[in-house]
Amino acid sequence: MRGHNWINSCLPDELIVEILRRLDSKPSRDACSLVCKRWLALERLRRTTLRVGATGSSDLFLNLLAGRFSNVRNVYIDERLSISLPVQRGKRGSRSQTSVSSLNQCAFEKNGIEDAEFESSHFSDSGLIALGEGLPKLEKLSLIWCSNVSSAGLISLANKCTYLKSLDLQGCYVGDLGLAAVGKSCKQLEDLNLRFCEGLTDMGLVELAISCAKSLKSLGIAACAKITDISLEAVGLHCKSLEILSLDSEFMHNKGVIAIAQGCPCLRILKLQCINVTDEALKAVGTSCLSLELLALYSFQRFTDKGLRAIGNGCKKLKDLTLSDCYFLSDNGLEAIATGCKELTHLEVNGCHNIGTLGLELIGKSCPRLTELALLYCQRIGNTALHEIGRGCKFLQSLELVDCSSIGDEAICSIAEGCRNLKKLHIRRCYEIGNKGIMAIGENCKSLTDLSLRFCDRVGDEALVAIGECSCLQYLNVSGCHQIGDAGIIAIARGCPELTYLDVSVLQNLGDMAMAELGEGCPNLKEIVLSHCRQITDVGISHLVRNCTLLESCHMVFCPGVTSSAVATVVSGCPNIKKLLVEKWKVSQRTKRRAGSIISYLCADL
Amino acid sequence: MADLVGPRLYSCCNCRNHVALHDDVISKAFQGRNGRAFLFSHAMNIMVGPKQNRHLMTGLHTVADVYCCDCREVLGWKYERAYEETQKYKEGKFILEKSKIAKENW
Repeated sequence: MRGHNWINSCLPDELIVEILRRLDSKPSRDACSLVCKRWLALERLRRTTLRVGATGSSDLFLNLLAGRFSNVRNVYIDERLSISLPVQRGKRGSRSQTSVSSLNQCAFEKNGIEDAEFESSHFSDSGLIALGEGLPKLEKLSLIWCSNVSSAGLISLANKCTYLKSLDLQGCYVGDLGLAAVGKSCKQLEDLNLRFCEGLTDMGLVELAISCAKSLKSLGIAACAKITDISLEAVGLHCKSLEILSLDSEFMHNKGVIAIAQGCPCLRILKLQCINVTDEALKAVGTSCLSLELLALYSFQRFTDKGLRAIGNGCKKLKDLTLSDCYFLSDNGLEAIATGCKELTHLEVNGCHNIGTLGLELIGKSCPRLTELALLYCQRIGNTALHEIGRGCKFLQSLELVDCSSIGDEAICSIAEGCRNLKKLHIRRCYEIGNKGIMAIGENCKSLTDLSLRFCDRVGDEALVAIGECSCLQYLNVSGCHQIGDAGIIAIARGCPELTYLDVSVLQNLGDMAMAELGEGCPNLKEIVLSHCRQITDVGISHLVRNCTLLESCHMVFCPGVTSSAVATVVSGCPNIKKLLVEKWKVSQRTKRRAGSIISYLCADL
Repeated sequence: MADLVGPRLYSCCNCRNHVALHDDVISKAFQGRNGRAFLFSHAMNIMVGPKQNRHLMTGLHTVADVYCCDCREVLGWKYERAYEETQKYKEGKFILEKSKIAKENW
């Protein structure tokens, strides 16, 4: 029967939702929403997450959202998000107004208020109350820099949303009453994150710890000046199910951390950035937290090898260790970890200037399951460390080196020959690494998908020719490797058809030939960064865009050969383009009209 | 929709290295070698050169030139010491010249 709508008459709602659920891109889902009112309603019911900016989110707006998307479980209200709403129907004359201000104007006109200031519609307590009433099944709420929200709003929401599982408050002036109310009403709260909450004191957090003692699994406290060891002691006393703890505060001392270590035996993840916490706390962790899997110690703390030894002795299940700017740690500490924590899979050493080659050698000898290694600002770590890693860690998948001036080609060759499963290699400013090492990688590591060589000025075209043999390569960044020219990039274009991300910025010898080859060889390219490439011109860009129609992001600032014509070409040739970074004066009026929202301007005129 | 929201950054004009946060701007009314400059409380991904004594408009200071760690472009300087009481507040802070930095992504 011509014209009969089979789909809508034969399929029940559940099946249509199931079909829509399998669409994997937002444009497709949006397109389906426009088919008919039923599909629009079903697609709205399918939504589980909402992200809105705090500015411009008036109560009316939130009421509307809660009404339309009634199955939403996760709400993020973030002051840093900009609002971009579609043009409102029925207001054809007011092209210059955004939808929100016209929406608010409607609201104000209804109430008889004449002043329709854009700024006055900021997310506040009444918005939070509206949210609570409209979405009683809310599970996750994140309020970021919502400065107009206070305890009153949170109390009301807590009373309505008793299924709340996760609460994230950053930069909000909520007080103790609000937090205590959450504790009383939301007995399923598992995850609490507090950052820059100047209004919260120990009182509120202690009450919540007592109320949610059975459910709380994850706690994060950062930059909250009035939360001290007292809260931590309460958590240690009551919250026996705690698994994740992240602290960033100078107001916490050993007392608090020890209380949690001794009171929460299920602790799996611990992150500390507390200048007043010392080895005593680590000793307690090493003694009591035997299930610990992840430990991260950040800047300027006074931990010494003694603390690490305690961890190495006790936390046998440790898999992931991050040591960042821990000046007093030396090879001895790392040795203790190497001998004690055989299950180690991730290791990051960042700016720990007293850790040298020896510690890393021992890791290579003792931790065969290592899959990720990152060495940042480690001037003292030399080639022999990576020899041992190459010999001992056959399962290594990711290696990151930044500013390691003592590591050279021999080390990279060892890694290449020993770690054939390497998928990701990131090297930045390691001036001793050159063509030889990278060629070894290209010859041996055929599973390589992610390669980044930034400002390694001894790496040239030869290296890229070898990398051209890694046909699985998806991500390539060679920014600042001045010796690389057309030959190298052409080799990549011909050998790596799966390439989706390419950054060739600051390369002075790269020209249009390479762009043309890229257009031919890498049709899956989604993101490209061409900034500061002096020799690339409109011609190269038009060749690139001809075949790379999936392009979503393009940065081309400081390219003297690129003009407004190239900008127009990219905009018209790439239907999926989401972001184009270019100088303001290179965008013609016509291009601005066609594609205004996706163009970001470089602001060099400060 | 939107990418992950991040802090507002300034980057080196010569390569794309991120060198400072907008949150760390203390003043926009400083004078550099070639024009206006900003005073920052922190700078990142930079190298600090050797200390030198210089007579600036506001008096004698000990400063050290500041370079982008990737491309080595001179971006400004760091105040190591100030010899007049009224200028002490600058110690430890960074001057980055307007002409050497660009807003990254905002």
